[in-house]
Amino acid sequence: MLFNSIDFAIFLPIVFVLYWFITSRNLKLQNLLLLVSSYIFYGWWDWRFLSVIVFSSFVDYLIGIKLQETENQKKRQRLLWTSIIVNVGFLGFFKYSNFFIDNFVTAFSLLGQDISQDNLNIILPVGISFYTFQTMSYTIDVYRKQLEPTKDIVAFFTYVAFFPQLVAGPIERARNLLPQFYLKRKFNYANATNGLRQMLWGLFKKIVIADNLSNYVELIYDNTSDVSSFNLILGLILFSIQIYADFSGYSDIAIGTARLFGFEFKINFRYPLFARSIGERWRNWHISLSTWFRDYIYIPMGGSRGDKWTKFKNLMILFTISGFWHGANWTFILWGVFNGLFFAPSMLLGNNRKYLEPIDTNKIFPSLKEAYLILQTFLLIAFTYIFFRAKNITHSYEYFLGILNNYNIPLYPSRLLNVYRIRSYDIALMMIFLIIMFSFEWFNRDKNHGLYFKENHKYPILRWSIYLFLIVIITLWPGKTENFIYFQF
Amino acid sequence: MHKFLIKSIILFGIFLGVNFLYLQVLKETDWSLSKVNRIMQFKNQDYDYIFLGASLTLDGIDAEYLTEKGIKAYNFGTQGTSIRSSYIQLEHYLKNNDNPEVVILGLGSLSKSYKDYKNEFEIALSYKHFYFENEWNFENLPLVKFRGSAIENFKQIVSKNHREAEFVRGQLRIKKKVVDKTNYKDKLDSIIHISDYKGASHLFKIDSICKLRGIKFILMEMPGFKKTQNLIPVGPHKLSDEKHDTLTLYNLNNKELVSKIIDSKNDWLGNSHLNQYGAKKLTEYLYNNILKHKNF
Repeated sequence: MLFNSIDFAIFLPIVFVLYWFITSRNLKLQNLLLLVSSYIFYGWWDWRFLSVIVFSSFVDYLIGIKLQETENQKKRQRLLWTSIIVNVGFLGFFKYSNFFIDNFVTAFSLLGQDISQDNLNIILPVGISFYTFQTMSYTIDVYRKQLEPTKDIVAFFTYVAFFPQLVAGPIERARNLLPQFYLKRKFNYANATNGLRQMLWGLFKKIVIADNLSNYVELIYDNTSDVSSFNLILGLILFSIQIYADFSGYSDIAIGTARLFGFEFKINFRYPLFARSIGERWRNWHISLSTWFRDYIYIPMGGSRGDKWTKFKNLMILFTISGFWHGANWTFILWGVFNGLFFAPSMLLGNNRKYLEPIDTNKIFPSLKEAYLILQTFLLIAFTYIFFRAKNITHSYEYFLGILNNYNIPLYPSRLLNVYRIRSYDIALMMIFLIIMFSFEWFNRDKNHGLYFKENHKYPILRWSIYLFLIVIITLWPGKTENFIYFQF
Repeated sequence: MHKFLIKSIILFGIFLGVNFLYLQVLKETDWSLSKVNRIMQFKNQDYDYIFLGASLTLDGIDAEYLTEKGIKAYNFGTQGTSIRSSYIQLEHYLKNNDNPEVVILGLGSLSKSYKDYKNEFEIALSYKHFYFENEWNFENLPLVKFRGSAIENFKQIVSKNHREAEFVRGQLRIKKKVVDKTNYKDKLDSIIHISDYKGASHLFKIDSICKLRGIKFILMEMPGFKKTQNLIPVGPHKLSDEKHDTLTLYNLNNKELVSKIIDSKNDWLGNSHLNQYGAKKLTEYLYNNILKHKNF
């Protein structure tokens, strides 16, 4: 089920009413309702793959209990590795089989041996990269004795499958989310309204910004030889905004939905488009994944301890894995490598922890220096999207060559705009909506989301007008319905 | 909780209210909706000639000119409409008004080289809304159903030519001028066999209700940009298949004719659509050469 679908618009109020009016007196029943709802939510896409979630949940639930029962270190390690092998095994099979087969065949053909091998027809279960990481974090934390294992099977299964974050995160740590299933939830008006606002803001970013931008991005990426250098650069900029609006929009809807049910997720995006350095950008982008990698891969490898070479090596491994997590394609690996290379100088010079706070919120505009740093960071990251959005390495190479060579092609691609049915009015409106998105996010840059209002906001009519305006724009101006980009990961 | 629910319901109610308001505004301002709405309410009208069709007709036929010449005419053309929609509109009109003498349907190309001739168009939204009962569902919310109209109204706000556009006897008069920069394809062409034309079934339906009431029904291929013009004579051409009576078609998209009466620099308002100057010239030709003599 997609957040931006009518199905979800019907599903959510039904679950909400059942949750707060029918099951609210019994915590176990309430959790069970969430579990059943989450499985319905997931099964709406494909029932068959529910078995993967159930199996993965069951393995980690059992391993958690077994880990508590034994102090034998070797046995504990075996249990941990069982969990990792099962979860990474699922991920490897569903997500990476074809990638490894293809590369295996290519490697042999380079050595002069032709192996004929058809790709396996494997469907990637939606959300598998997210929930396997979530359930693994539980087992690792129990293994490290940072978390008591749970015996409440319903709470644990619901923690793994909780529908707001099941298919594209945020990847919630058991330490944060699981205890919330043990406590009786009370409806909190301020939290719920804040959640609704955040959902509305997420829908606006997804439906109006990301889905409309996707048409422009498609035009440019699919016609690299027919558009000018300027437009190719513009394509990178637009894709940077699209992917941000798409994914942070999803996170906003997820976090907002959870608030409606009395749950609090960790923030997943902290206005990364306003970052002044690559370090700040990565601290504020897909935070739940970055911190997962940090805690379970980077720090165990040694992190930023050791000599400069070790630091560099660890960083590059981290970013390469991060790239590979996004997809089974060399383009993602290269994307990760370039991000690592851009990040490395600040880490080696020891200033990657600069800019821990947002730009002074009393300022209406950033200073010239800040504006320059924001633009520089934005463009550097945008450059890496040559690889991220390209179909394959050849495509990204063509894109790059196009930027260098297509300066003679007219700036205004009238024919293509016609083919993609983009009219001058669409461009004008798109610009207005981008200004709206950036303005709201800029002025709320120290808050949890772009549509944050204080509880006792002075101008309720203005606030309600904004809600209504956004709802009308979402209804009136949706882009072509696209899956959330991160569903494919 | 109650406060939350009440406020959510109020917000939902306001949203529905905005939908209702949007529809009322569109009924007054939107070219398609206001026009279909107006035509639907016609009672006891006694037009001699009515012109059906889509935007090519809407922009390209000057019904006022004909009325001045003594033929009481009205342009029923509506943006984005289909032959099926025209049929629905005509059927409804005939139930509530006097029979016209002639019904003329303006069409896009009926020549073989025209790649879209096999498209069958759905019933236009504006027709669906007014001529059918609407179910209560999300897709029927005015803000959802008439999304496209918001763009058209946005155009009216930002473009001077669109702001100044006016309806005169059903014709949408726009002064905007666009130069036809397309090239002739200059290949011999022929009219497609009528049974290959997917809208044919509704053409024959219109023909049969006209015949029942003694109304003359004529098809007219409307002029277009150079790239669409053909070398088929103006006609009249007789189109028929084994099952139906013959239809009469005039080809006003003949290259020689269009180059003679239409100025490629001043008479178009956009892709194959005539502006008010072009429309007057076309209607003048139509009157002097076809309608005046009633030789169809």
